[in-house]
Amino acid sequence: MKILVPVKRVIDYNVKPRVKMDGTGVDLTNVKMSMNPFDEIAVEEAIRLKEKGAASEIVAVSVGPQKAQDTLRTALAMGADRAILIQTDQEVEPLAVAKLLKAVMDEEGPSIVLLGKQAIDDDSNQTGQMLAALSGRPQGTFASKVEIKGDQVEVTREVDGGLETVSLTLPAIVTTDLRLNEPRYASLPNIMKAKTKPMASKTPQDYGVDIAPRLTTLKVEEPAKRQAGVKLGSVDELVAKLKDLGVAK
Amino acid sequence: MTNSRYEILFEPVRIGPVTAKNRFYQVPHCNGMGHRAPSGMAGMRRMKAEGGWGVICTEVCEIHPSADISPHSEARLWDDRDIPALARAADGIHEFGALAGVELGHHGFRAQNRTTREVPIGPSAHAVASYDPVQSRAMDKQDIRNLRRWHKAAALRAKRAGFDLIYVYAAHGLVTPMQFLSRKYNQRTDEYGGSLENRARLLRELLEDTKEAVGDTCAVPVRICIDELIGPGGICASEEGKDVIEMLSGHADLWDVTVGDWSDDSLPSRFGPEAAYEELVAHVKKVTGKPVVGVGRFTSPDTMVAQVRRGVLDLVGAARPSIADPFLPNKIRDDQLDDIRECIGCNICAASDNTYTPIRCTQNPTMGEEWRRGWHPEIMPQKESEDRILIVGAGPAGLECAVTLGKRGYQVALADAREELGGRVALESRLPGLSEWGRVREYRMSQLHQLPDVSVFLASMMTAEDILEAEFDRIVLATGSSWRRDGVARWHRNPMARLQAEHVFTPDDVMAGVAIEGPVIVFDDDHYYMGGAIAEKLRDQGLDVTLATPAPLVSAWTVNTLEQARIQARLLRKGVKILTSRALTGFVDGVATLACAFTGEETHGDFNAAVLATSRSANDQLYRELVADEARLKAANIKSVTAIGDSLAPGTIAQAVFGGHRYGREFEKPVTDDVPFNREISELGPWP
Amino acid sequence: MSVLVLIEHEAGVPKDASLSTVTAAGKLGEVHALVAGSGAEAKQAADAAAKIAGVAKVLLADDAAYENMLAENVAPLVVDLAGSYDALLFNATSIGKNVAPRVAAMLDVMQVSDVLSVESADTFTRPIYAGNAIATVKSSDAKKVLTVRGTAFAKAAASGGSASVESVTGKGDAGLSSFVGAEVSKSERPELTSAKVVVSGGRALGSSEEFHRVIDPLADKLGAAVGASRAAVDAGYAPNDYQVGQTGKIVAPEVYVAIGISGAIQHLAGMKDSKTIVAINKDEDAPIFQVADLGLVGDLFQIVPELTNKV
Repeated sequence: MKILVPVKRVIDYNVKPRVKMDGTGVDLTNVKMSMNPFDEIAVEEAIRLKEKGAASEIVAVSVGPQKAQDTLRTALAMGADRAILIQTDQEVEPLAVAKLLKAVMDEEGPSIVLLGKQAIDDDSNQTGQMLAALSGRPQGTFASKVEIKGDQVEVTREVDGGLETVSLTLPAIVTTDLRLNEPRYASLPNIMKAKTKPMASKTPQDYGVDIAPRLTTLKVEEPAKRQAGVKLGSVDELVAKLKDLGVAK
Repeated sequence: MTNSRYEILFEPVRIGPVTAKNRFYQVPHCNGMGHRAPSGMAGMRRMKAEGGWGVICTEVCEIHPSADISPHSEARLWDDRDIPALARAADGIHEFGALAGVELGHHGFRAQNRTTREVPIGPSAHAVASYDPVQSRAMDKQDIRNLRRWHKAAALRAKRAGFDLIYVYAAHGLVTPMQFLSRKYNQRTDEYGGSLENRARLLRELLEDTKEAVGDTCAVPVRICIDELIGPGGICASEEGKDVIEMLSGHADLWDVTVGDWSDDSLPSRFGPEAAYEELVAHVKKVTGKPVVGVGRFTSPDTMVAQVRRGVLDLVGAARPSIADPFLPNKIRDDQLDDIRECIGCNICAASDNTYTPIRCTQNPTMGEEWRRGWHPEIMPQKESEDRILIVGAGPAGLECAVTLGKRGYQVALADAREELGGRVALESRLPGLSEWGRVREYRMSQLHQLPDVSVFLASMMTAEDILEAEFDRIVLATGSSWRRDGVARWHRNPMARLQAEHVFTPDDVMAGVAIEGPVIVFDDDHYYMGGAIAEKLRDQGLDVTLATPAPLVSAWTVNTLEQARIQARLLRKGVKILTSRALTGFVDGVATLACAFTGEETHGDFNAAVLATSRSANDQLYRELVADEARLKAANIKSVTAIGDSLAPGTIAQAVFGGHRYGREFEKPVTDDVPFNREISELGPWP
Repeated sequence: MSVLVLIEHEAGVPKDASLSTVTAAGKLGEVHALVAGSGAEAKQAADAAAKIAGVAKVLLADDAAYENMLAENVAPLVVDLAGSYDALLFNATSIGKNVAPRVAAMLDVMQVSDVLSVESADTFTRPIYAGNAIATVKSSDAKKVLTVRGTAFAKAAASGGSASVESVTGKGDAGLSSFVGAEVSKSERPELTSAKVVVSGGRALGSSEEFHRVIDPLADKLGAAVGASRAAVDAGYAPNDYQVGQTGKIVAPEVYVAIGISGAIQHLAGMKDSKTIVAINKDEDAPIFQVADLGLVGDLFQIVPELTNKV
């Protein structure tokens, strides 16, 4: 069974994003970039499935600039077998990424596509669902547990009230949530060994996908500063407020 | 842009006839350089001025040969020839718009006068505090007149040197006016002894003299102890501490308030938090309208603001936080709070003065090196080549090396075998009381997050083959050290013969959480903090713990970090059995053999386990393997392989950080026989 | 312009998040509500939706296939109805986030996620970089698909409306997925980084014993995780992994209760994204009150036990 794992190169989650003064966006010059943390979880899950014998090949794919090769190399160092870079310097929206991934799916024929639920830069939380729609396959989003059962995959999902388990007919699209697993580190020796693993380089044109964006960002600003609230007069008042918030009974 | 919350810290404050540009006040602190390394001292003060402090003071400045505290090297104004050295410091401070303060001091009976051979003087005849076979004599009226004259002369010299604030120092039990103030030392029956007014008379007179001499253009602060922390037998903040300030309020332009002795004032983080003395200091502003400054190891801008807003202090005093980060004020001003290097309260700075060496700081490797090596804490020279550097080991040395190289623009890979950064700092900061030491790691991690050319690899154990294949130009090994299991250190220079390995552990084992069953004997021949910290940790776990050391004191070297008495007290109160002047000479079949350090007489004790905190072995196997085969290195195009930090030679965390920093700055320079730093040579005197 | 809102419901009652989405939809045009579900509860929900102020019409799709809101079944339903609408709005909840993008892709339009405000018919604001920045985006798609953040819009009144309820039929079960089961959140203490409620203690607790004696019962009562300030951890009152802050854990619960915590910047960095911050501190000038939504000045040793009793 083949698993396809799309990964995205994003701002490192330890870096505090700084909004540019001219309102055009977040300043990414000279900023540390890394694999999207949710994607690391997806890669890890794919590797665990392979280690259990449920998968035979893991293909990592990324849509991004040349430097996204570093991100793919990290996936390879963690244990992916092959990588595909779909190279573009343009910002690509989830809809376009989903279309590109659909094209890759058609070529590779994976049984499962494992993606991070969202990228920590645009926080869209769409790509996996869109890919499922375009490929006409089921989706298990916000997964905290993934279990292959024959021709089905059982996905336990983190939902607002707690957990929910669904059974999906393979091939299926699964997006990962935080608690699915704790990803292993891509060690330096493994990064070096990964240099021998195959890395293909393509472009969006190779797949015949139009990546022109549908949304225009007019401006990017800092959020309003948190304001001081009210000072209460008694514990009873606080209890009442906590009840309103649904925290107390 | 300054966060509006912190603007209050940048308000100017009037101090007598001068005005400080902001509330950041570097209180007087020693630095081991003093009169023996005047440019070093001046360079260090100047760096703080550049960092934005509003007021920067010298260390105590000896005013007369009758109170000489050598070999401590403090500032000195004995005669006009001492002026240029101090003027250099004042000029440096002025360069960036800060006010320069000098803490004139006379050490009374605390001066052993080892160099001058004068008889020490004080309020009453007392043995000096150290074990020197020296006693002081009680001052008579002429002595008091003399002291006043020396102080006035020093004040005039200080003014000529360019100082804006000229102190009268009456704190820490160290100086004459305080010795008169304290009932512990002043048993006089004349008008300089007895009532508080009498005991404060000398202080009053010195303040009046100083104001008269220099008060027109210079501010006259007084550094005073408001609570001796010895209970009702001494000055207490709510009584005499308050009364004396009220009594003398009009006499001083600024109240620089302290508590206890130096070990209290410079409370180590192991024994107390930030702002530890707020409750005591809070009394002061109630009885004086003059500005008040005090310390509390303030590293948090919010705590600083709170001290001002709550009416505790007008100026935020700092010594150690200014040492860890001379640029603290500028970083707050520029909203670079993440870049503040926070003091960890280890007191290695105090240890420098106590061991008569130029000041050093665990967090700030450039401290004390501003002049002699030309190191700036915030500015690293640009890279000189495109060399790519691999650093193996992300403990304090590796982290500092990576940050320094990263700031210079080099491409760096930092690899560590473990799944967290920090090496020994990560582990040791989990020992009782050492939590704040973790900031060594946290600060460097915050810097790494901002350096995209430094790649960090965890879970990356590197073999020699891995390194040779990794395609780096330079290899740095910062692989740390391991505590020895064979008892070798100062007492045993060869491995102990009578040691049964299965029940012998090291601090590494304890920190790794290896299960140990009591009763345990901890053998400490390291004499810094580790033996005591391990004993404390095991005791906290409920084990029966005995600590044996060949030294007469527990953790003997911590006398220098001002912690020793508290460490021993804490261990005793926790029920650790302490055997000083005893060496472990064997541990077999559950029986420990202890020998008296003087007579060699042996005693025995039953224990389940022994923990040896003796010395460490450098983890240098990888280094030796790599340098053994030069041809292989050449074939891999590796230009150099260098060991730094504990893997070169085990030492303090401060030394490891220094080693990492030094490599980062200097690795391109060839090593020569020249003295690797600037130094000042004494001027030869007249000769017949 | 006409807008279709997917109404989430439970036990026959539309969820609060949907009431907020209705408000957002009202800014764009005439609001129709789609209730998908199964049986009597779905019908009840449709009737209730008809009463929401601002809803002009309710569409009810009653089919067992919609009982658990499986996206593979609900999305085609929405897409079939989408022809008559200019905008399709969903809650930014786990259901809305699951269904909406599938709809968007089927319609070949880009979705705008987590809308915070409607600036015009085609311009919206939304959070990016974990809320560290707010982007104003303009959509060039003819049909808009949005997920709406409930806390950003006032809830429409649940009564006052009198819309008609119309039955619609979708394609039912797509046969791709099935519902296996659900589990309500466990009662044991949740993990700090994922808890909905966090109760944190500061150095003012004074000791490890007091920390646990005062904080733990309140956390238990609220089903909360326990956190601590750096000062409390440094002093040994709480273990390392309780630390919330820049150098500890970053949390963003629904409710964060800071007890005896002054609110130093490095602590705030760890919890500033909490939806509601409650602060209990004896110092009324403590910086925590600058960011707390609800503050109580007083002695925590009196307040917290009383609070624990009464919640």
